[in-house]
Amino acid sequence: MNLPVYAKIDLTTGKAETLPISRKYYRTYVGGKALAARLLLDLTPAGLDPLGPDAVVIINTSPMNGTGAPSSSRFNMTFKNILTGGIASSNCGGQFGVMMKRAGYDGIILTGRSETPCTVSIVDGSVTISDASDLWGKNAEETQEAFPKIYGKLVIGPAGEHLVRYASAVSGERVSGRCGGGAALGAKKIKAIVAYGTKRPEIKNKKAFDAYVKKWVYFLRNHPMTGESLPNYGSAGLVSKANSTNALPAHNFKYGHFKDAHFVSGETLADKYLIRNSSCISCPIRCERRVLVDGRDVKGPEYETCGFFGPNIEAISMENMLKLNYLCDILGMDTISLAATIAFAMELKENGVADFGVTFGNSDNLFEVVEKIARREGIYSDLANGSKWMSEKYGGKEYAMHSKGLEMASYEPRRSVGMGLGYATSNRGGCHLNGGYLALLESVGVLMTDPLSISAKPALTAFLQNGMEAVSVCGFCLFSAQSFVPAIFFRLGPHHPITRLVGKIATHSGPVVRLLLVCMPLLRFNSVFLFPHAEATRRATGLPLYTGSFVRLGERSFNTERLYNLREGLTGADDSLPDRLTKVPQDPNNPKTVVRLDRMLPVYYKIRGWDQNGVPKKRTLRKLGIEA
Amino acid sequence: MKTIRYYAPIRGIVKKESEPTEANTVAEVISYIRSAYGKQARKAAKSSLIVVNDVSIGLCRGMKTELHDGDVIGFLPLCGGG
Repeated sequence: MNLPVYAKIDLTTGKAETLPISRKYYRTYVGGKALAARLLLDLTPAGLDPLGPDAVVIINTSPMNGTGAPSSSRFNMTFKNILTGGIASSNCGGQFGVMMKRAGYDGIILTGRSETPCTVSIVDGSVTISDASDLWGKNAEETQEAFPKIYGKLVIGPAGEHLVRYASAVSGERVSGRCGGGAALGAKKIKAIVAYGTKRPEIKNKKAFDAYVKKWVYFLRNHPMTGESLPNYGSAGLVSKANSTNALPAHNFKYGHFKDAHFVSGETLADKYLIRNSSCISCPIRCERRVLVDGRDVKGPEYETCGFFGPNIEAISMENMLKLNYLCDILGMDTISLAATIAFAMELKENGVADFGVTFGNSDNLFEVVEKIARREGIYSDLANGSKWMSEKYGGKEYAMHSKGLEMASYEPRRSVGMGLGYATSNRGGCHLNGGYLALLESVGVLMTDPLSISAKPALTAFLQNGMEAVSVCGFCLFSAQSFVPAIFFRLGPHHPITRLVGKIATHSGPVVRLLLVCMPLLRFNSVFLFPHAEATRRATGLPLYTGSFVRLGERSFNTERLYNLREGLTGADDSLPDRLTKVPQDPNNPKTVVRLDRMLPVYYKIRGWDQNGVPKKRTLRKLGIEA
Repeated sequence: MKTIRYYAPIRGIVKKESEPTEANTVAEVISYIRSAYGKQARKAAKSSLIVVNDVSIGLCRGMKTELHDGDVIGFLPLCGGG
């Protein structure tokens, strides 16, 4: 068994040392965000300033990165969350992870702070730190152009340099967007990390692995979701879907429907602006949109960007949105947190509280505003701190749309109450993916449970959070898991009586899912229909991963991150949502259109094996093999 | 008069983006599609996300949803992502 090797790089002294990962940690945490959370717990004391010199940033890969398995190029960044003070994990599909692994390191642990801007180079096992003063001030695109094309790069833009709290780190055109990873690197004065090497990952059972990959790729290409919908429309196709079920945030989450949403929908994007689609390394899904911005062929927007620079600010210009998306990528900013903070500022203005020159319905002046935020110019420095910080300064906490400090994604939880529970319990804050993405089974999928029923939502949320966590831990893109809804339901359609009947049954599947969660270790099988990731990882690494142990790996990861949050002072009281979502019905005539978090949380805690304060019980940690 | 808007995959079968209709319910639109474009088009229409004025018919009366003058009925693709 090849154990992962990490490089521990001290920016203060400029020295690097090799840090082998123990067999015990490898078998327990595997890699990616789970192993990184464990290491962050071990390597840092409680209460560190996330932007201080002692903060630690871990950038790591997973056993599957670079193996050629479908959608397996995601690398991970884990650090203390700049926005929430808890854990941050953010993954990215750029080339950097695969190249770092080829250069001989499965991960790097960054400590200390450089006095001057620097570049960290990892080439064929050798780590060097060089001056990057000439790159400081350049945008992410220009910075990457300064290095050879064959290198994997991870860079920051001006927003990271100016410590914008939701600054992103950029690799190629893919972005490690959420939680402020760009600021975490900027605080260490790291402008760029580049990697190149020729080492290939060893695969334990190559023949069996290759055969399985072939089978899995065939399955993905022939599934209606991963073989048709995502390649044709990308994630942006969800705009119309969410709008049709009143689950598309509009006017800073005040409403769930926007009458002009079609102007910024995935269909409009595909019909009028798409020039081709593309993909990350070794991905057969090819969901990436390519569009022209000022005559340049660049990456197009994802669903979240369409939703937040569209209906959530009531803007209808697709051209503006494409430009804003590109601008955020080169300045290095998370489009979700940025646009949600702008929407909050718009509502502050609407309520006569503060005026940042932004108004609902107008995206024409946002280019200038976004540039100013990225460079923290004047009053726009306030917007660079995110909506939680803004609401503490200006008021309006009830409509600052974040959880724990991280702005929520573009799903209106009052029409996806399980997604609301997911936002509230997600370890990194208001994230749909870390939150279990139950919206896919409530308001934007084919097979839909009752979006207002709380019946099975705690159990489904816990199950999906664990499953998706495991997919990320092993280095896969979460889109590769979207083939879990059987193809037959796509052929029948969402309005077919059978599809609706199965959705109704699933609405009350709580006891079955709870039983499943308890019996996980007994599920010693793998299937290409559910979590093919487990079988691929088992064949590549020899780790005993089956459906049950795979989901349990996710549960272990989720609980490890939870322990970090608790250690940093977050409590069950932080598993919360803004009053707009829990107290104000989306439909004034339907009192059920609120997120009844108070009723779901106790059940969720119980299912998770946590006490009434949301703290994992000792026997839960023992069961998962986590040392507190 | 009402308008039917087609998106992929049904657009590939009917070969048009939109057309007017005098149908009074969603079910009548489906019947029209069957008679005008054949069984394959009907199958594609029924497996689409059907919306009336951008609202899913699942939130209205399903196939019995009534159509009024000026309404737009859309056959949208089933998308994913996140």
